Amino acid sequence: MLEQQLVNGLMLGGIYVLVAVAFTLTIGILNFLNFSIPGVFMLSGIFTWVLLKAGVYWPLAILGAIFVGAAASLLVERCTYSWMRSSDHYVPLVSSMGFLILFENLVLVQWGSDLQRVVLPFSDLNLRFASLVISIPQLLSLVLAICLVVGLRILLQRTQMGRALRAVAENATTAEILGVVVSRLVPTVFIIGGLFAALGGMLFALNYQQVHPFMGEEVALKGISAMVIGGMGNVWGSVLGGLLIGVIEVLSIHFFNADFVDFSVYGLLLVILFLKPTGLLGASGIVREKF
Amino acid sequence: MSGNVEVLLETKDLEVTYGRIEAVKGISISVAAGEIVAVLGANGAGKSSLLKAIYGLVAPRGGEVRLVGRPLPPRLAHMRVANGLALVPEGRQILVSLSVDENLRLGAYRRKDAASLEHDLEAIYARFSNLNQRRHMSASTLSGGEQQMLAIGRALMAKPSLLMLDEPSLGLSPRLVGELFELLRQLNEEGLSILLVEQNTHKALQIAHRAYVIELGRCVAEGTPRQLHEEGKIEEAYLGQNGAG
Repeated sequence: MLEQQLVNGLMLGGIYVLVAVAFTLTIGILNFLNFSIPGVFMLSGIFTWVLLKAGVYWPLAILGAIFVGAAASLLVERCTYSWMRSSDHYVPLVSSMGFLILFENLVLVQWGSDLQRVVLPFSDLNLRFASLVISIPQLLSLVLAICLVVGLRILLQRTQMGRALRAVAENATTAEILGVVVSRLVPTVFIIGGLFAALGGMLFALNYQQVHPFMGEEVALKGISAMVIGGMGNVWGSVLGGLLIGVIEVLSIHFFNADFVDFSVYGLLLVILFLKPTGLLGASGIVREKF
Repeated sequence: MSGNVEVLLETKDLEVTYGRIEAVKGISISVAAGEIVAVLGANGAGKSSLLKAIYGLVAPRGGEVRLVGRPLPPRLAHMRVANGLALVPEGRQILVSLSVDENLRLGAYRRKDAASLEHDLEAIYARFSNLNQRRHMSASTLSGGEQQMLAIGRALMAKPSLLMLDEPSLGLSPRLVGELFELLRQLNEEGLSILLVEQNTHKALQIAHRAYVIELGRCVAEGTPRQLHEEGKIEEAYLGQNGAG
Protein backbone atom coordinates (compact mmCIF):
# COMPACT_ATOMS: atom_id res chain seq x y z
CA MET A 1 0.00 0.00 0.00
CA LEU A 2 1.64 3.16 -1.23
CA GLU A 3 0.10 5.66 1.20
CA GLN A 4 1.26 3.61 4.15
CA GLN A 5 4.80 3.50 2.71
CA LEU A 6 4.81 7.26 2.22
CA VAL A 7 3.78 7.72 5.85
CA ASN A 8 6.49 5.33 7.01
CA GLY A 9 9.03 7.13 4.86
CA LEU A 10 8.17 10.53 6.31
CA MET A 11 8.46 9.14 9.84
CA LEU A 12 11.86 7.61 9.09
CA GLY A 13 12.79 10.88 7.44
CA GLY A 14 12.06 12.69 10.72
CA ILE A 15 15.01 10.86 12.29
CA TYR A 16 17.28 11.73 9.37
CA VAL A 17 16.15 15.35 9.72
CA LEU A 18 17.31 15.44 13.35
CA VAL A 19 20.74 14.02 12.44
CA ALA A 20 21.08 16.27 9.38
CA VAL A 21 20.29 19.38 11.44
CA ALA A 22 22.89 18.33 14.02
CA PHE A 23 25.50 18.18 11.25
CA THR A 24 24.28 21.41 9.67
CA LEU A 25 24.64 23.33 12.92
CA THR A 26 28.28 22.50 13.52
CA ILE A 27 29.31 22.81 9.91
CA GLY A 28 27.33 26.03 9.45
CA ILE A 29 28.53 27.79 12.57
CA LEU A 30 31.90 26.25 13.32
CA ASN A 31 32.82 25.17 9.79
CA PHE A 32 33.74 21.63 10.70
CA LEU A 33 32.16 18.23 10.10
CA ASN A 34 31.49 16.82 13.57
CA PHE A 35 32.02 13.07 13.25
CA SER A 36 31.08 12.43 16.85
CA ILE A 37 27.39 12.99 16.00
CA PRO A 38 26.80 9.31 15.03
CA GLY A 39 28.42 8.38 18.35
CA VAL A 40 26.05 10.67 20.25
CA PHE A 41 23.11 9.21 18.28
CA MET A 42 24.20 5.66 19.18
CA LEU A 43 24.87 6.43 22.86
CA SER A 44 21.39 7.85 23.25
CA GLY A 45 19.86 4.78 21.55
CA ILE A 46 21.90 2.38 23.68
CA PHE A 47 20.99 4.19 26.90
CA THR A 48 17.31 4.12 25.95
CA TRP A 49 17.65 0.34 25.85
CA VAL A 50 19.84 0.12 29.00
CA LEU A 51 17.57 2.29 31.11
CA LEU A 52 14.34 0.65 29.92
CA LYS A 53 15.84 -2.78 30.56
CA ALA A 54 16.84 -1.67 34.06
CA GLY A 55 13.17 -0.93 34.69
CA VAL A 56 13.46 2.86 34.81
CA TYR A 57 10.08 4.58 34.37
CA TRP A 58 9.96 5.27 30.62
CA PRO A 59 9.72 9.09 30.56
CA LEU A 60 12.77 9.20 32.83
CA ALA A 61 14.56 6.65 30.67
CA ILE A 62 13.95 8.78 27.59
CA LEU A 63 15.16 11.95 29.29
CA GLY A 64 18.17 10.10 30.71
CA ALA A 65 19.16 8.82 27.28
CA ILE A 66 18.92 12.31 25.77
CA PHE A 67 20.93 13.72 28.65
CA VAL A 68 23.70 11.15 28.11
CA GLY A 69 23.85 12.11 24.42
CA ALA A 70 24.03 15.86 25.07
CA ALA A 71 26.64 15.33 27.80
CA ALA A 72 28.73 13.20 25.44
CA SER A 73 28.57 15.98 22.85
CA LEU A 74 29.74 18.53 25.43
CA LEU A 75 32.56 16.19 26.42
CA VAL A 76 33.73 16.10 22.79
CA GLU A 77 33.77 19.91 22.74
CA ARG A 78 35.65 20.16 26.06
CA CYS A 79 38.25 17.57 25.05
CA THR A 80 38.79 18.42 21.40
CA TYR A 81 37.33 21.56 19.96
CA SER A 82 38.05 23.94 22.81
CA TRP A 83 41.73 22.90 22.76
CA MET A 84 42.25 22.68 19.07
CA ARG A 85 40.22 25.53 17.70
CA SER A 86 43.26 27.53 16.75
CA SER A 87 44.91 24.60 14.98
CA ASP A 88 44.30 23.43 11.44
CA HIS A 89 40.81 22.54 10.36
CA TYR A 90 41.37 18.81 10.09
CA VAL A 91 42.45 18.46 13.73
CA PRO A 92 38.98 18.86 15.32
CA LEU A 93 37.56 16.77 12.48
CA VAL A 94 39.94 13.87 13.11
CA SER A 95 39.60 14.10 16.88
CA SER A 96 35.80 14.05 16.63
CA MET A 97 36.17 10.89 14.54
CA GLY A 98 38.37 9.51 17.32
CA PHE A 99 35.54 10.12 19.76
CA LEU A 100 33.11 8.23 17.51
CA ILE A 101 35.42 5.19 17.59
CA LEU A 102 35.93 5.60 21.34
CA PHE A 103 32.19 5.73 22.06
CA GLU A 104 31.48 2.75 19.84
CA ASN A 105 34.17 0.63 21.42
CA LEU A 106 33.25 1.57 24.99
CA VAL A 107 29.72 0.36 24.25
CA LEU A 108 31.15 -2.72 22.52
CA VAL A 109 33.27 -3.59 25.58
CA GLN A 110 30.41 -3.00 27.98
CA TRP A 111 27.46 -4.57 26.16
CA GLY A 112 28.91 -6.51 23.24
CA SER A 113 28.25 -6.12 19.53
CA ASP A 114 24.93 -7.97 19.37
CA LEU A 115 21.78 -6.39 18.11
CA GLN A 116 19.80 -5.68 21.27
CA ARG A 117 16.03 -5.70 21.32
CA VAL A 118 14.33 -2.73 22.92
CA VAL A 119 11.20 -3.84 24.76
CA LEU A 120 8.71 -1.00 24.78
CA PRO A 121 7.06 -0.23 28.10
CA PHE A 122 3.83 0.64 26.35
CA SER A 123 2.00 -1.75 24.06
CA ASP A 124 0.39 -1.06 20.71
CA LEU A 125 0.29 2.70 20.45
CA ASN A 126 -1.10 2.99 16.99
CA LEU A 127 -3.38 5.52 15.43
CA ARG A 128 -5.58 4.23 12.64
CA PHE A 129 -7.04 6.37 9.88
CA ALA A 130 -9.06 4.16 7.54
CA SER A 131 -6.44 1.73 6.34
CA LEU A 132 -3.44 3.84 7.46
CA VAL A 133 -1.56 2.75 10.58
CA ILE A 134 0.62 5.34 12.30
CA SER A 135 2.57 4.38 15.39
CA ILE A 136 2.70 7.10 17.99
CA PRO A 137 6.50 7.02 18.49
CA GLN A 138 6.86 7.39 14.72
CA LEU A 139 4.45 10.26 14.57
CA LEU A 140 6.21 11.80 17.54
CA SER A 141 9.59 11.67 15.81
CA LEU A 142 8.27 13.55 12.79
CA VAL A 143 6.34 16.13 14.81
CA LEU A 144 9.22 16.61 17.22
CA ALA A 145 11.72 16.99 14.39
CA ILE A 146 9.62 19.68 12.71
CA CYS A 147 8.90 21.49 15.99
CA LEU A 148 12.55 21.48 16.98
CA VAL A 149 13.62 22.84 13.62
CA VAL A 150 11.04 25.62 13.89
CA GLY A 151 12.31 26.34 17.42
CA LEU A 152 15.88 26.39 16.19
CA ARG A 153 14.95 28.79 13.40
CA ILE A 154 13.32 31.13 15.92
CA LEU A 155 16.38 30.90 18.16
CA LEU A 156 18.71 31.69 15.27
CA GLN A 157 16.62 34.44 13.67
CA ARG A 158 14.88 36.22 16.53
CA THR A 159 17.11 36.13 19.59
CA GLN A 160 20.28 37.98 20.48
CA MET A 161 22.00 34.63 20.97
CA GLY A 162 20.92 33.52 17.50
CA ARG A 163 22.30 36.72 15.99
CA ALA A 164 25.56 36.07 17.83
CA LEU A 165 25.67 32.50 16.51
CA ARG A 166 25.13 33.71 12.96
CA ALA A 167 27.79 36.36 13.47
CA VAL A 168 30.24 33.67 14.60
CA ALA A 169 29.24 31.61 11.55
CA GLU A 170 30.17 34.48 9.25
CA ASN A 171 33.23 35.87 11.00
CA ALA A 172 34.29 34.83 14.49
CA THR A 173 36.77 37.72 14.89
CA THR A 174 34.14 40.33 14.09
CA ALA A 175 31.77 38.65 16.54
CA GLU A 176 34.47 38.85 19.20
CA ILE A 177 35.06 42.55 18.46
CA LEU A 178 31.37 43.14 19.17
CA GLY A 179 31.64 41.42 22.53
CA VAL A 180 30.46 37.92 21.67
CA VAL A 181 32.24 35.38 23.86
CA VAL A 182 32.93 32.84 21.16
CA SER A 183 34.43 30.33 23.60
CA ARG A 184 31.15 30.29 25.51
CA LEU A 185 28.91 29.96 22.44
CA VAL A 186 30.80 27.00 21.00
CA PRO A 187 29.76 24.59 23.81
CA THR A 188 26.17 25.76 23.25
CA VAL A 189 26.40 24.75 19.60
CA PHE A 190 27.67 21.32 20.63
CA ILE A 191 24.91 20.88 23.20
CA ILE A 192 22.14 21.89 20.76
CA GLY A 193 23.63 19.64 18.06
CA GLY A 194 24.01 16.86 20.64
CA LEU A 195 20.36 17.23 21.66
CA PHE A 196 19.21 16.84 18.08
CA ALA A 197 21.38 13.75 17.51
CA ALA A 198 20.44 12.24 20.88
CA LEU A 199 16.76 12.75 20.22
CA GLY A 200 17.21 11.01 16.88
CA GLY A 201 18.95 8.04 18.55
CA MET A 202 16.31 7.74 21.25
CA LEU A 203 13.46 7.85 18.71
CA PHE A 204 15.25 5.34 16.50
CA ALA A 205 15.49 2.93 19.45
CA LEU A 206 11.77 3.33 20.21
CA ASN A 207 10.63 3.11 16.59
CA TYR A 208 12.72 0.23 15.34
CA GLN A 209 13.17 -1.43 18.72
CA GLN A 210 16.74 -2.46 18.11
CA VAL A 211 20.11 -0.96 19.01
CA HIS A 212 23.75 -1.87 18.48
CA PRO A 213 27.11 -0.11 18.87
CA PHE A 214 27.41 0.89 15.22
CA MET A 215 23.82 1.98 14.66
CA GLY A 216 24.94 5.61 14.28
CA GLU A 217 27.11 5.19 11.23
CA GLU A 218 24.53 4.31 8.60
CA VAL A 219 22.09 6.91 9.88
CA ALA A 220 24.85 9.52 9.93
CA LEU A 221 25.75 8.85 6.30
CA LYS A 222 22.09 9.39 5.41
CA GLY A 223 22.03 12.51 7.61
CA ILE A 224 25.08 13.97 5.87
CA SER A 225 23.51 13.13 2.50
CA ALA A 226 20.30 14.83 3.61
CA MET A 227 22.30 17.93 4.53
CA VAL A 228 24.10 17.98 1.18
CA ILE A 229 20.94 17.29 -0.84
CA GLY A 230 19.11 20.10 0.95
CA GLY A 231 21.99 22.57 0.75
CA MET A 232 24.84 22.94 3.23
CA GLY A 233 24.22 25.25 6.14
CA ASN A 234 20.50 25.60 5.43
CA VAL A 235 18.28 24.20 8.21
CA TRP A 236 15.20 23.90 5.97
CA GLY A 237 17.36 22.17 3.38
CA SER A 238 18.21 19.54 5.99
CA VAL A 239 14.51 19.05 6.68
CA LEU A 240 13.70 18.64 3.00
CA GLY A 241 16.69 16.36 2.41
CA GLY A 242 15.93 14.20 5.45
CA LEU A 243 12.28 13.66 4.53
CA LEU A 244 13.20 13.01 0.90
CA ILE A 245 15.73 10.33 1.84
CA GLY A 246 13.29 8.70 4.25
CA VAL A 247 10.59 8.46 1.58
CA ILE A 248 13.00 7.25 -1.13
CA GLU A 249 14.39 4.60 1.19
CA VAL A 250 10.97 3.20 2.04
CA LEU A 251 9.74 3.38 -1.56
CA SER A 252 12.86 1.55 -2.78
CA ILE A 253 12.04 -1.30 -0.43
CA HIS A 254 8.41 -1.22 -1.53
CA PHE A 255 9.03 -1.27 -5.28
CA PHE A 256 12.29 -3.22 -5.41
CA ASN A 257 13.93 -4.66 -2.32
CA ALA A 258 16.12 -3.70 0.64
CA ASP A 259 19.31 -4.14 -1.38
CA PHE A 260 18.19 -1.28 -3.57
CA VAL A 261 18.07 1.33 -0.78
CA ASP A 262 21.67 2.57 -0.89
CA PHE A 263 21.61 2.61 -4.68
CA SER A 264 18.58 4.93 -4.79
CA VAL A 265 19.58 7.18 -1.86
CA TYR A 266 23.16 7.82 -2.97
CA GLY A 267 22.10 7.80 -6.60
CA LEU A 268 19.73 10.65 -5.79
CA LEU A 269 22.57 12.43 -3.98
CA LEU A 270 24.77 12.20 -7.08
CA VAL A 271 22.01 13.31 -9.44
CA ILE A 272 21.17 16.34 -7.29
CA LEU A 273 24.80 17.31 -6.87
CA PHE A 274 25.19 17.04 -10.64
CA LEU A 275 22.11 19.16 -11.41
CA LYS A 276 22.42 21.64 -8.52
CA PRO A 277 25.80 21.44 -6.77
CA THR A 278 24.68 23.76 -3.96
CA GLY A 279 21.82 21.43 -2.99
CA LEU A 280 18.08 21.99 -3.35
CA LEU A 281 17.81 25.05 -1.08
CA GLY A 282 21.45 26.10 -1.10
CA ALA A 283 22.25 29.66 -2.16
CA SER A 284 24.54 29.94 -5.12
CA GLY A 285 25.63 33.57 -4.82
CA ILE A 286 28.76 34.86 -3.14
CA VAL A 287 26.79 36.10 -0.16
CA ARG A 288 25.30 33.14 1.59
CA GLU A 289 22.62 33.71 4.16
CA LYS A 290 23.02 30.84 6.52
CA PHE A 291 20.19 29.02 8.28
CA MET B 1 48.06 67.25 26.76
CA SER B 2 47.34 69.34 29.81
CA GLY B 3 48.17 67.61 33.06
CA ASN B 4 44.85 67.65 34.84
CA VAL B 5 42.75 66.01 32.11
CA GLU B 6 41.77 62.42 32.82
CA VAL B 7 43.83 59.91 30.86
CA LEU B 8 41.41 57.44 29.32
CA LEU B 9 43.68 55.04 27.53
CA GLU B 10 47.42 54.61 27.54
CA THR B 11 49.91 52.10 26.25
CA LYS B 12 53.35 51.66 27.80
CA ASP B 13 56.18 50.29 25.66
CA LEU B 14 53.76 48.07 23.77
CA GLU B 15 55.46 45.44 21.61
CA VAL B 16 53.80 43.18 19.05
CA THR B 17 55.57 40.45 17.11
CA TYR B 18 54.32 38.04 14.49
CA GLY B 19 56.74 35.16 14.53
CA ARG B 20 60.10 36.85 13.98
CA ILE B 21 58.64 40.03 12.56
CA GLU B 22 58.50 42.90 15.03
CA ALA B 23 55.51 45.00 14.04
CA VAL B 24 55.39 47.26 17.09
CA LYS B 25 58.66 47.95 18.90
CA GLY B 26 57.69 49.64 22.12
CA ILE B 27 55.07 52.31 21.53
CA SER B 28 53.63 54.50 24.29
CA ILE B 29 50.59 56.58 23.48
CA SER B 30 47.74 58.05 25.47
CA VAL B 31 44.24 59.34 24.84
CA ALA B 32 42.65 61.78 27.26
CA ALA B 33 38.92 62.00 27.81
CA GLY B 34 37.35 64.16 25.10
CA GLU B 35 40.29 63.98 22.72
CA ILE B 36 40.62 62.92 19.12
CA VAL B 37 44.02 61.28 18.80
CA ALA B 38 45.34 60.21 15.42
CA VAL B 39 47.97 57.55 14.83
CA LEU B 40 49.57 58.27 11.47
CA GLY B 41 52.06 56.51 9.31
CA ALA B 42 52.61 54.70 6.05
CA ASN B 43 51.26 51.28 5.18
CA GLY B 44 52.99 48.62 7.28
CA ALA B 45 54.26 51.05 9.89
CA GLY B 46 52.59 49.07 12.67
CA LYS B 47 49.51 51.24 13.26
CA SER B 48 46.99 48.46 12.86
CA SER B 49 49.01 46.09 15.02
CA LEU B 50 49.07 48.72 17.74
CA LEU B 51 45.30 49.05 17.55
CA LYS B 52 44.78 45.28 17.54
CA ALA B 53 46.97 44.88 20.61
CA ILE B 54 45.04 47.62 22.44
CA TYR B 55 41.76 45.91 21.56
CA GLY B 56 43.05 42.48 22.57
CA LEU B 57 42.92 40.92 19.12
CA VAL B 58 46.62 40.09 19.28
CA ALA B 59 48.62 39.41 22.43
CA PRO B 60 51.40 41.96 22.93
CA ARG B 61 54.85 40.49 23.52
CA GLY B 62 55.68 43.23 25.98
CA GLY B 63 54.37 46.38 27.58
CA GLU B 64 50.85 47.03 28.75
CA VAL B 65 47.57 48.74 27.95
CA ARG B 66 45.82 50.75 30.65
CA LEU B 67 42.26 52.01 30.68
CA VAL B 68 41.64 54.75 33.25
CA GLY B 69 44.73 53.53 35.06
CA ARG B 70 43.72 49.87 35.20
CA PRO B 71 45.67 47.36 33.08
CA LEU B 72 43.60 45.57 30.42
CA PRO B 73 44.19 41.84 30.00
CA PRO B 74 46.04 40.76 26.85
CA ARG B 75 43.73 39.11 24.31
CA LEU B 76 40.09 38.72 25.48
CA ALA B 77 38.83 41.13 22.81
CA HIS B 78 35.24 40.33 23.75
CA MET B 79 35.76 42.09 27.10
CA ARG B 80 36.79 45.42 25.54
CA VAL B 81 33.19 46.37 24.71
CA ALA B 82 32.18 45.85 28.33
CA ASN B 83 35.11 48.07 29.34
CA GLY B 84 33.84 50.95 27.23
CA LEU B 85 35.94 50.54 24.09
CA ALA B 86 34.49 49.95 20.63
CA LEU B 87 36.38 49.17 17.45
CA VAL B 88 35.50 49.91 13.84
CA PRO B 89 37.81 47.34 12.27
CA GLU B 90 39.80 47.73 9.08
CA GLY B 91 37.64 46.94 6.06
CA ARG B 92 34.52 47.63 8.22
CA GLN B 93 33.76 43.90 8.69
CA ILE B 94 30.04 44.26 8.22
CA LEU B 95 28.22 40.97 8.77
CA VAL B 96 26.66 40.57 5.33
CA SER B 97 24.58 37.52 6.20
CA LEU B 98 22.69 39.64 8.74
CA SER B 99 20.32 42.56 8.18
CA VAL B 100 21.26 46.16 8.87
CA ASP B 101 19.12 46.10 12.01
CA GLU B 102 20.73 42.89 13.24
CA ASN B 103 24.20 44.33 12.73
CA LEU B 104 23.29 47.33 14.87
CA ARG B 105 21.69 45.19 17.57
CA LEU B 106 24.79 43.00 17.75
CA GLY B 107 26.76 46.15 18.50
CA ALA B 108 24.81 46.29 21.77
CA TYR B 109 25.44 42.60 22.51
CA ARG B 110 26.91 43.24 25.94
CA ARG B 111 24.36 45.83 27.04
CA LYS B 112 21.70 44.87 29.53
CA ASP B 113 19.51 48.00 29.32
CA ALA B 114 16.88 46.88 26.81
CA ALA B 115 14.76 50.03 27.03
CA SER B 116 17.44 52.63 26.35
CA LEU B 117 18.88 50.29 23.73
CA GLU B 118 15.79 50.77 21.54
CA HIS B 119 16.08 54.51 22.07
CA ASP B 120 19.74 54.49 21.01
CA LEU B 121 18.88 52.37 17.98
CA GLU B 122 16.36 54.98 16.84
CA ALA B 123 18.95 57.70 17.43
CA ILE B 124 21.37 55.86 15.14
CA TYR B 125 18.67 55.57 12.48
CA ALA B 126 17.89 59.26 12.86
CA ARG B 127 21.56 60.10 12.33
CA PHE B 128 22.01 57.73 9.37
CA SER B 129 18.83 57.99 7.31
CA ASN B 130 20.22 55.67 4.60
CA LEU B 131 20.45 52.89 7.17
CA ASN B 132 16.91 53.61 8.32
CA GLN B 133 15.58 52.99 4.81
CA ARG B 134 17.36 49.65 4.65
CA ARG B 135 16.74 48.47 8.20
CA HIS B 136 15.54 44.99 7.32
CA MET B 137 17.57 44.47 4.20
CA SER B 138 20.73 42.40 4.11
CA ALA B 139 23.80 44.46 4.98
CA SER B 140 25.32 43.17 1.74
CA THR B 141 23.04 45.55 -0.19
CA LEU B 142 24.75 48.64 1.26
CA SER B 143 27.23 50.78 -0.66
CA GLY B 144 30.75 51.24 0.66
CA GLY B 145 29.91 54.54 2.35
CA GLU B 146 26.76 53.11 3.91
CA GLN B 147 28.72 50.13 5.17
CA GLN B 148 31.14 52.49 6.90
CA MET B 149 28.18 54.28 8.50
CA LEU B 150 26.84 50.90 9.62
CA ALA B 151 30.21 49.91 11.08
CA ILE B 152 30.35 53.18 13.03
CA GLY B 153 26.69 52.93 14.07
CA ARG B 154 27.27 49.39 15.25
CA ALA B 155 30.25 50.49 17.34
CA LEU B 156 28.20 53.37 18.79
CA MET B 157 25.48 50.93 19.87
CA ALA B 158 27.93 49.65 22.49
CA LYS B 159 27.82 53.14 24.06
CA PRO B 160 31.62 53.35 24.20
CA SER B 161 33.62 56.00 25.99
CA LEU B 162 36.41 55.54 23.45
CA LEU B 163 35.79 54.83 19.78
CA MET B 164 38.70 53.25 17.92
CA LEU B 165 38.79 53.30 14.12
CA ASP B 166 41.21 51.42 11.88
CA GLU B 167 41.68 53.18 8.52
CA PRO B 168 38.04 54.26 8.20
CA SER B 169 38.65 56.35 5.07
CA LEU B 170 40.06 53.44 3.09
CA GLY B 171 38.14 52.86 -0.13
CA LEU B 172 35.83 55.85 0.25
CA SER B 173 35.43 58.63 -2.32
CA PRO B 174 36.86 62.06 -1.33
CA ARG B 175 33.33 63.38 -0.70
CA LEU B 176 32.52 60.46 1.61
CA VAL B 177 35.85 60.85 3.40
CA GLY B 178 34.89 64.46 4.08
CA GLU B 179 31.51 63.39 5.48
CA LEU B 180 33.18 60.69 7.58
CA PHE B 181 35.60 63.08 9.26
CA GLU B 182 32.84 65.62 9.81
CA LEU B 183 30.85 62.86 11.54
CA LEU B 184 33.81 61.98 13.76
CA ARG B 185 34.24 65.64 14.69
CA GLN B 186 30.54 65.85 15.61
CA LEU B 187 30.69 62.69 17.70
CA ASN B 188 33.68 64.11 19.52
CA GLU B 189 31.84 67.35 20.23
CA GLU B 190 29.08 65.24 21.75
CA GLY B 191 31.66 63.92 24.20
CA LEU B 192 33.07 60.80 22.57
CA SER B 193 36.83 60.24 22.73
CA ILE B 194 38.32 58.91 19.51
CA LEU B 195 41.48 57.02 18.61
CA LEU B 196 41.93 57.15 14.87
CA VAL B 197 44.45 55.14 12.87
CA GLU B 198 44.82 56.68 9.43
CA GLN B 199 46.96 56.85 6.34
CA ASN B 200 45.07 59.93 5.21
CA THR B 201 47.30 62.24 7.26
CA HIS B 202 45.94 65.47 5.84
CA LYS B 203 42.32 64.74 6.74
CA ALA B 204 43.14 63.18 10.10
CA LEU B 205 45.14 66.22 11.22
CA GLN B 206 42.20 68.50 10.41
CA ILE B 207 40.15 66.97 13.21
CA ALA B 208 42.76 65.50 15.60
CA HIS B 209 43.77 67.30 18.78
CA ARG B 210 47.00 65.36 18.93
CA ALA B 211 48.76 62.84 16.72
CA TYR B 212 51.48 60.24 16.85
CA VAL B 213 53.59 59.45 13.81
CA ILE B 214 54.60 55.78 13.55
CA GLU B 215 57.45 54.54 11.40
CA LEU B 216 58.65 50.94 11.25
CA GLY B 217 57.05 50.08 14.57
CA ARG B 218 58.39 53.08 16.48
CA CYS B 219 56.84 56.37 17.39
CA VAL B 220 58.97 59.02 15.68
CA ALA B 221 56.96 62.13 16.51
CA GLU B 222 54.04 63.31 18.58
CA GLY B 223 52.23 66.52 19.30
CA THR B 224 49.43 68.77 18.17
CA PRO B 225 48.89 69.11 14.41
CA ARG B 226 50.51 72.55 14.56
CA GLN B 227 53.61 71.27 16.38
CA LEU B 228 53.99 68.41 13.91
CA HIS B 229 53.71 70.77 10.95
CA GLU B 230 56.23 73.17 12.42
CA GLU B 231 58.73 70.42 13.13
CA GLY B 232 58.31 69.16 9.56
CA LYS B 233 57.46 65.69 10.81
CA ILE B 234 54.31 65.43 8.76
CA GLU B 235 56.11 65.73 5.45
CA GLU B 236 58.13 62.68 6.40
CA ALA B 237 55.02 60.72 7.29
CA TYR B 238 53.47 61.78 4.00
CA LEU B 239 56.23 60.22 1.98
CA GLY B 240 54.72 56.76 1.93
CA GLN B 241 51.40 58.12 0.82
CA ASN B 242 52.12 61.09 -1.44
CA GLY B 243 52.03 59.35 -4.79
CA ALA B 244 48.68 57.75 -4.13
CA GLY B 245 47.21 61.09 -3.12
